[in-house]
Amino acid sequence: MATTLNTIVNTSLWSMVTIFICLLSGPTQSGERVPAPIINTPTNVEGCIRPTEFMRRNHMHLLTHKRDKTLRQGIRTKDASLSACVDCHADKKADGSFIPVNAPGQFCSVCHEYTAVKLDCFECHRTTPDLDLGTTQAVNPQNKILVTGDTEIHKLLNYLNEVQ
Amino acid sequence: MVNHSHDKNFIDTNRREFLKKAGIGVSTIALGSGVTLFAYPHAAARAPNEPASASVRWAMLIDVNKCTPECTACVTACSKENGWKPDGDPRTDAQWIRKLEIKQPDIGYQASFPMMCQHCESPPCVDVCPTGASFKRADGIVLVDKHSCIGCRYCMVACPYNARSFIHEPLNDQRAHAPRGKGTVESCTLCVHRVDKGVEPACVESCENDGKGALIFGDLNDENSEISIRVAKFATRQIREDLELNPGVRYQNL
Repeated sequence: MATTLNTIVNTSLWSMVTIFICLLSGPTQSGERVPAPIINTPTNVEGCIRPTEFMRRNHMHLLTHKRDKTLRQGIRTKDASLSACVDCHADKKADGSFIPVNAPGQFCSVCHEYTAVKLDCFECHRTTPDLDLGTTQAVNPQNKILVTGDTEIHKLLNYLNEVQ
Repeated sequence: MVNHSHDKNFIDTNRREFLKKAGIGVSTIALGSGVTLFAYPHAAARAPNEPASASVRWAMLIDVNKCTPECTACVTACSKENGWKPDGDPRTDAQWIRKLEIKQPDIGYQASFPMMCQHCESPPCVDVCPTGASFKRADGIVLVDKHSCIGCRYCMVACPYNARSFIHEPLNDQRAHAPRGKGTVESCTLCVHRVDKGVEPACVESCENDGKGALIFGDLNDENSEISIRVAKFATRQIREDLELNPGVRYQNL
């Protein structure tokens, strides 16, 4: 019994040492790592509502804040509206039809797959611009979002900047 | 047929509302001529950044005499506007709006009218919701917050109008303004995305254009709105008025 226990302890000790060595040598073998995602941004978009670096880290805060404002209070400004995101960031196929933003390799899914974060928005929300509405960003490039004034979103942004 | 005791209550409430408004009117005048400090909101659009206001009570009036059994313009318009389709199974069908046929066999009276979420002042669906997903907006519109809906369906059981339905299958190609998804409960939103822009609901618009002009939409708190004038002038009924939920949808000539 004691011999078996010793064997187990020895074996696990050696495995730990092996893992430790692997960890040490890991970073040098960077070719083995998952490659950073290539983000597929449609070229017809001229700038987002916020700087890219900010959006990468904080888009979810903007969306959560806005969804409650819209649904619960009926505030329907274009700033940080999910459908406006989709209008700009949905890519087109060669035949002009839109590709869903959550399809593999598309704007939303490419990072969500890389970071292993489940993308829940599109269980309910539409994944392509709603052309029947007639005035979507994708149809009308004049419909660019203007960010002005001291809105609730700005307060949230300032708060997030302070916290970081 | 008509519950007279309830009607008395109803008249009392209206009188109280009238006195309140009269009081506000007086204070407006007293504060200065030519300066409007208080304007009653009506179907005109609010600014997009302005929240829904409790000084508005959105409501609908359905004239049952004008509504005919063969006309389904309101149902078709709702389906197109909000992107739902009947799935052919009455047990799982979406219940945003449906046409009802009623008949009193002893005298032969028949009527046809649309039934949808009645946007109650005291909604039982909101009472029973365990997550706060079912809620009433400040302007009286009852909605489901699908971000917090867990699909328990208590609200469907609580609703006396059978006005809510559950989505059983995964969906795609929803309308951008009407997100819907598997595992959540849904119902008539009174076309809240249109109302917020100052446009009347799709069913009302289609009833005017393609139907019989039986539906009108407006603000019950605005005494000059068509709906307020008609509700004050004619006897109207609420379905299951015995429950005293004070629905925002009223029926005339029923």
